[in-house]
Amino acid sequence: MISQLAQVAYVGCIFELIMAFILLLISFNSYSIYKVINENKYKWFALSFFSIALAFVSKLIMNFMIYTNEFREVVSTVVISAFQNTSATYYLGYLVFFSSRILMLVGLTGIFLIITNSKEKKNWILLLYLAILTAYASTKISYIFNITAAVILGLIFLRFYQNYINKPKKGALGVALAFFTICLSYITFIFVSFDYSLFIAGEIIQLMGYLILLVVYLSILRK
Amino acid sequence: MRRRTRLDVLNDMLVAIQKARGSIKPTHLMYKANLSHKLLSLYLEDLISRDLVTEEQIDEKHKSILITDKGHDFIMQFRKIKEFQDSFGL
Repeated sequence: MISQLAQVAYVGCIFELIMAFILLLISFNSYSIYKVINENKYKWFALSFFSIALAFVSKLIMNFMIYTNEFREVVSTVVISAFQNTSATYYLGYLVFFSSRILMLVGLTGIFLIITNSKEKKNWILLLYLAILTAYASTKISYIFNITAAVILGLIFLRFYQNYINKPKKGALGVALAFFTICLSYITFIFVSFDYSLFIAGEIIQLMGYLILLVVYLSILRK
Repeated sequence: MRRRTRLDVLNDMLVAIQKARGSIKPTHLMYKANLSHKLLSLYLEDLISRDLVTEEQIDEKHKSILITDKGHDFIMQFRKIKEFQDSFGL
């Protein structure tokens, strides 16, 4: 019989695949704009989205490992301890877990720096260092990652909302709404340690956010 | 009237060259794209650096601006690029 953790991991795999695909589409679009107009910010924007897409691919691998481990009767409600059956799978699981967090925070920080037109290299170095440090610290205390991601996403949302106020277009509203929804999902993840069912709610909210982003992307393509 | 962005100006210049069958004199381009001489030089430099146009020397005094394949591609993609830029506030 498949346990609840395996079921969540299985659904998580599907969700992460969809979200990674949407992020790759946006990344590819931004990179193709860079190829046409040679503006570096589009290249970095593409790389930031690519980094988040890779974070989801890492999460997908992690969920797949949990799912397959479940069939070996390794049952745990704590994600990282699901890999502790052998040292090899533990280290591989840890590596995938850590890289997913680094890639996510680096990608989000990249988006924030680009949309705020931060051209100062020192700001980039400092914020990327803090993102990596947070990712490392969050492997011990999980909610640090969710709080940090929620804060960055909140700031990204505010910038996109400001953009909508300046240019009241459907696309701008869609992007602001998408990042607000994704931010909301990370706020939900913060409270997962109190109630595990919030993890599923968070995943669904997050998927909705990325689906809004997909709708915006498709509307851009139709132009 | 709304102020043109850099991208709008580049598109206007490329459309002007395209309408002139892919080749135009700098003075004509200046009038067609509604630019001053100083701004024309500035934006032309930008277009050349992005490989969207090339300059061809006709004789000692005259030169012509030619649109490249990448320039044609830019015009085709312009609305999508503009929409992407506006949506993400880039």
